[in-house]
Amino acid sequence: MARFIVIHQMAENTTQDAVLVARKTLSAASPESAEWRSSWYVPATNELFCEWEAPTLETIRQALFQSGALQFAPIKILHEVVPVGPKDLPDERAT
Amino acid sequence: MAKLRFGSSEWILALHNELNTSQAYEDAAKNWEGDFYFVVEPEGALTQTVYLYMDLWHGKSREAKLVQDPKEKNPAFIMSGKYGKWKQVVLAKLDPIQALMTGQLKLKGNMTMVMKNVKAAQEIIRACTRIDTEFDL
Repeated sequence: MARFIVIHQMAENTTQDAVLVARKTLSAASPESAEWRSSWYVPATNELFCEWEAPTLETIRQALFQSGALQFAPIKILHEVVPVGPKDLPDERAT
Repeated sequence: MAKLRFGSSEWILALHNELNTSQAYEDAAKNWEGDFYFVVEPEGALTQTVYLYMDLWHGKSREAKLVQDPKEKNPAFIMSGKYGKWKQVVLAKLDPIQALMTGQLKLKGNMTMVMKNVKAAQEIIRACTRIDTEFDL
Protein backbone atom coordinates (compact mmCIF):
# COMPACT_ATOMS: atom_id res chain seq x y z
CA MET A 1 0.00 0.00 0.00
CA ALA A 2 1.26 3.48 -0.83
CA ARG A 3 2.18 5.98 1.87
CA PHE A 4 1.25 9.66 1.81
CA ILE A 5 2.04 12.79 3.76
CA VAL A 6 -0.69 15.40 3.99
CA ILE A 7 0.21 18.84 5.29
CA HIS A 8 -2.77 20.78 6.58
CA GLN A 9 -2.68 24.51 7.24
CA MET A 10 -4.78 24.83 10.38
CA ALA A 11 -7.27 27.68 10.63
CA GLU A 12 -6.39 30.44 13.07
CA ASN A 13 -9.58 29.82 15.01
CA THR A 14 -10.50 26.20 15.60
CA THR A 15 -12.61 24.65 18.29
CA GLN A 16 -11.85 21.35 19.94
CA ASP A 17 -15.39 20.17 19.16
CA ALA A 18 -14.83 20.66 15.42
CA VAL A 19 -11.54 18.75 15.56
CA LEU A 20 -12.96 15.85 17.57
CA VAL A 21 -16.09 15.55 15.43
CA ALA A 22 -13.97 15.55 12.26
CA ARG A 23 -11.69 12.90 13.68
CA LYS A 24 -14.68 10.68 14.48
CA THR A 25 -16.26 11.28 11.09
CA LEU A 26 -12.94 10.64 9.38
CA SER A 27 -12.81 7.12 10.77
CA ALA A 28 -16.26 6.43 9.33
CA ALA A 29 -15.55 8.21 6.04
CA SER A 30 -12.27 6.42 5.38
CA PRO A 31 -12.57 3.27 3.30
CA GLU A 32 -11.06 0.18 4.92
CA SER A 33 -8.15 0.43 2.53
CA ALA A 34 -7.15 3.87 3.81
CA GLU A 35 -5.56 4.31 7.21
CA TRP A 36 -4.59 7.51 8.99
CA ARG A 37 -1.42 6.39 10.80
CA SER A 38 -0.16 9.35 12.79
CA SER A 39 0.09 13.14 12.95
CA TRP A 40 2.53 15.80 14.12
CA TYR A 41 1.48 19.36 14.89
CA VAL A 42 3.99 22.16 14.20
CA PRO A 43 3.28 25.08 16.54
CA ALA A 44 5.70 27.41 14.73
CA THR A 45 3.78 27.23 11.45
CA ASN A 46 0.36 26.02 12.67
CA GLU A 47 0.58 23.06 10.31
CA LEU A 48 -0.46 19.48 10.86
CA PHE A 49 1.60 16.74 9.19
CA CYS A 50 -0.38 13.53 8.74
CA GLU A 51 0.86 10.18 7.56
CA TRP A 52 -1.55 7.97 5.62
CA GLU A 53 -1.56 4.57 4.04
CA ALA A 54 -4.01 4.35 1.14
CA PRO A 55 -4.43 3.01 -2.38
CA THR A 56 -4.48 6.44 -4.00
CA LEU A 57 -4.10 10.10 -3.21
CA GLU A 58 -7.73 10.61 -4.19
CA THR A 59 -8.93 8.14 -1.52
CA ILE A 60 -7.45 10.37 1.17
CA ARG A 61 -8.72 13.58 -0.35
CA GLN A 62 -12.24 12.13 -0.49
CA ALA A 63 -12.17 10.87 3.09
CA LEU A 64 -10.94 14.24 4.37
CA PHE A 65 -13.58 16.08 2.38
CA GLN A 66 -16.40 13.91 3.75
CA SER A 67 -15.16 14.28 7.34
CA GLY A 68 -15.48 18.06 7.32
CA ALA A 69 -11.85 18.41 8.40
CA LEU A 70 -10.99 20.57 5.41
CA GLN A 71 -13.13 23.38 6.78
CA PHE A 72 -10.59 24.10 9.50
CA ALA A 73 -7.60 22.16 8.17
CA PRO A 74 -7.37 22.63 4.40
CA ILE A 75 -4.77 20.64 2.52
CA LYS A 76 -1.62 22.59 1.76
CA ILE A 77 0.41 19.71 0.34
CA LEU A 78 -0.45 16.09 -0.38
CA HIS A 79 2.40 13.88 -1.58
CA GLU A 80 3.04 10.22 -2.02
CA VAL A 81 6.16 9.43 -0.02
CA VAL A 82 8.64 6.62 0.51
CA PRO A 83 9.20 5.80 4.17
CA VAL A 84 12.82 5.49 5.17
CA GLY A 85 13.90 4.79 8.74
CA PRO A 86 16.88 3.51 10.68
CA LYS A 87 15.68 -0.06 10.26
CA ASP A 88 15.87 0.34 6.47
CA LEU A 89 19.56 1.21 6.57
CA PRO A 90 22.31 -1.39 6.70
CA ASP A 91 23.42 -2.20 10.24
CA GLU A 92 26.95 -0.80 10.38
CA ARG A 93 27.65 -2.70 13.60
CA ALA A 94 27.12 -6.02 11.79
CA THR A 95 30.06 -5.46 9.43
CA MET B 1 7.10 23.07 54.10
CA ALA B 2 3.67 21.43 53.98
CA LYS B 3 2.37 19.97 50.79
CA LEU B 4 -0.35 21.90 48.99
CA ARG B 5 -3.54 20.11 48.07
CA PHE B 6 -4.21 20.14 44.32
CA GLY B 7 -7.15 22.40 43.49
CA SER B 8 -6.94 24.42 46.68
CA SER B 9 -6.71 28.18 46.95
CA GLU B 10 -3.13 27.84 48.22
CA TRP B 11 -2.17 25.61 45.31
CA ILE B 12 -3.38 27.98 42.57
CA LEU B 13 -1.66 30.86 44.35
CA ALA B 14 1.56 28.84 44.43
CA LEU B 15 1.26 28.29 40.69
CA HIS B 16 0.66 32.02 40.21
CA ASN B 17 3.87 32.76 42.15
CA GLU B 18 5.85 30.10 40.29
CA LEU B 19 4.84 31.55 36.93
CA ASN B 20 5.63 35.11 37.98
CA THR B 21 9.16 34.13 38.99
CA SER B 22 9.86 31.98 35.94
CA GLN B 23 11.93 33.60 33.21
CA ALA B 24 11.32 30.54 31.02
CA TYR B 25 7.55 31.02 31.31
CA GLU B 26 7.81 34.75 30.69
CA ASP B 27 9.78 34.11 27.49
CA ALA B 28 7.54 31.28 26.27
CA ALA B 29 4.28 33.12 26.94
CA LYS B 30 5.33 36.65 25.96
CA ASN B 31 2.62 36.82 23.28
CA TRP B 32 -0.10 35.06 25.25
CA GLU B 33 -3.31 36.94 26.06
CA GLY B 34 -6.17 35.09 27.67
CA ASP B 35 -7.67 33.96 30.93
CA PHE B 36 -8.66 30.43 31.88
CA TYR B 37 -10.94 28.38 33.99
CA PHE B 38 -9.27 25.10 34.80
CA VAL B 39 -12.23 22.94 35.74
CA VAL B 40 -11.55 19.85 37.81
CA GLU B 41 -14.48 17.46 37.59
CA PRO B 42 -15.34 15.19 40.51
CA GLU B 43 -13.71 11.82 40.72
CA GLY B 44 -12.78 9.63 43.67
CA ALA B 45 -12.72 11.60 46.90
CA LEU B 46 -13.48 14.85 45.08
CA THR B 47 -17.25 15.26 45.11
CA GLN B 48 -17.63 18.83 43.86
CA THR B 49 -16.40 20.55 40.72
CA VAL B 50 -13.42 22.83 41.33
CA TYR B 51 -12.98 26.05 39.30
CA LEU B 52 -9.49 27.48 39.21
CA TYR B 53 -9.20 30.88 37.54
CA MET B 54 -5.99 32.22 36.01
CA ASP B 55 -5.55 35.44 34.08
CA LEU B 56 -2.43 34.96 31.97
CA TRP B 57 -1.13 37.97 30.11
CA HIS B 58 2.14 38.41 28.23
CA GLY B 59 4.20 36.02 30.30
CA LYS B 60 2.76 36.92 33.67
CA SER B 61 -0.10 35.70 35.83
CA ARG B 62 -2.19 38.75 36.68
CA GLU B 63 -4.67 36.93 38.90
CA ALA B 64 -5.20 33.41 40.15
CA LYS B 65 -7.80 32.10 42.53
CA LEU B 66 -10.19 29.38 43.45
CA VAL B 67 -13.66 30.43 42.34
CA GLN B 68 -16.80 29.26 44.10
CA ASP B 69 -19.30 30.52 41.52
CA PRO B 70 -18.27 29.90 37.89
CA LYS B 71 -20.46 32.82 36.84
CA GLU B 72 -18.00 35.14 38.56
CA LYS B 73 -15.71 35.22 35.52
CA ASN B 74 -16.18 34.82 31.79
CA PRO B 75 -12.77 33.61 30.65
CA ALA B 76 -11.64 33.21 27.05
CA PHE B 77 -10.74 29.57 27.68
CA ILE B 78 -12.31 26.83 29.75
CA MET B 79 -10.27 23.67 30.09
CA SER B 80 -11.96 20.84 31.92
CA GLY B 81 -11.34 17.24 32.82
CA LYS B 82 -11.67 14.61 35.49
CA TYR B 83 -9.50 14.87 38.59
CA GLY B 84 -7.41 11.89 37.49
CA LYS B 85 -6.57 13.48 34.13
CA TRP B 86 -5.52 16.74 35.79
CA LYS B 87 -3.35 14.77 38.19
CA GLN B 88 -1.55 13.19 35.21
CA VAL B 89 -1.08 16.62 33.62
CA VAL B 90 0.18 18.26 36.81
CA LEU B 91 2.65 15.41 37.35
CA ALA B 92 3.85 15.86 33.73
CA LYS B 93 2.71 12.35 32.84
CA LEU B 94 0.21 13.58 30.24
CA ASP B 95 1.04 16.33 27.76
CA PRO B 96 -1.75 18.93 27.95
CA ILE B 97 -1.74 19.65 24.21
CA GLN B 98 -1.92 15.95 23.42
CA ALA B 99 -4.73 15.66 25.96
CA LEU B 100 -6.63 18.41 24.15
CA MET B 101 -6.11 16.95 20.70
CA THR B 102 -7.31 13.55 21.85
CA GLY B 103 -10.25 14.87 23.88
CA GLN B 104 -8.91 13.69 27.24
CA LEU B 105 -9.26 17.29 28.38
CA LYS B 106 -12.08 19.44 27.02
CA LEU B 107 -11.50 22.97 25.78
CA LYS B 108 -13.90 25.79 25.12
CA GLY B 109 -12.20 28.60 23.25
CA ASN B 110 -9.82 28.91 20.33
CA MET B 111 -7.88 25.66 20.30
CA THR B 112 -5.43 26.85 17.64
CA MET B 113 -4.27 29.63 19.94
CA VAL B 114 -3.59 27.14 22.73
CA MET B 115 -1.83 24.69 20.41
CA LYS B 116 0.43 27.37 18.98
CA ASN B 117 1.57 28.23 22.48
CA VAL B 118 2.76 24.75 23.33
CA LYS B 119 5.97 26.06 24.93
CA ALA B 120 3.99 28.22 27.34
CA ALA B 121 1.82 25.22 28.23
CA GLN B 122 4.94 23.17 28.89
CA GLU B 123 6.35 25.88 31.16
CA ILE B 124 3.09 25.95 33.13
CA ILE B 125 3.40 22.21 33.65
CA ARG B 126 7.04 22.61 34.71
CA ALA B 127 5.87 25.20 37.22
CA CYS B 128 3.23 22.74 38.47
CA THR B 129 5.89 20.09 39.04
CA ARG B 130 7.85 22.52 41.24
CA ILE B 131 4.90 22.78 43.63
CA ASP B 132 4.96 20.15 46.34
CA THR B 133 1.47 18.84 45.66
CA GLU B 134 -0.68 16.29 47.40
CA PHE B 135 -3.61 14.63 45.68
CA ASP B 136 -6.86 13.19 46.98
CA LEU B 137 -6.88 10.45 44.35
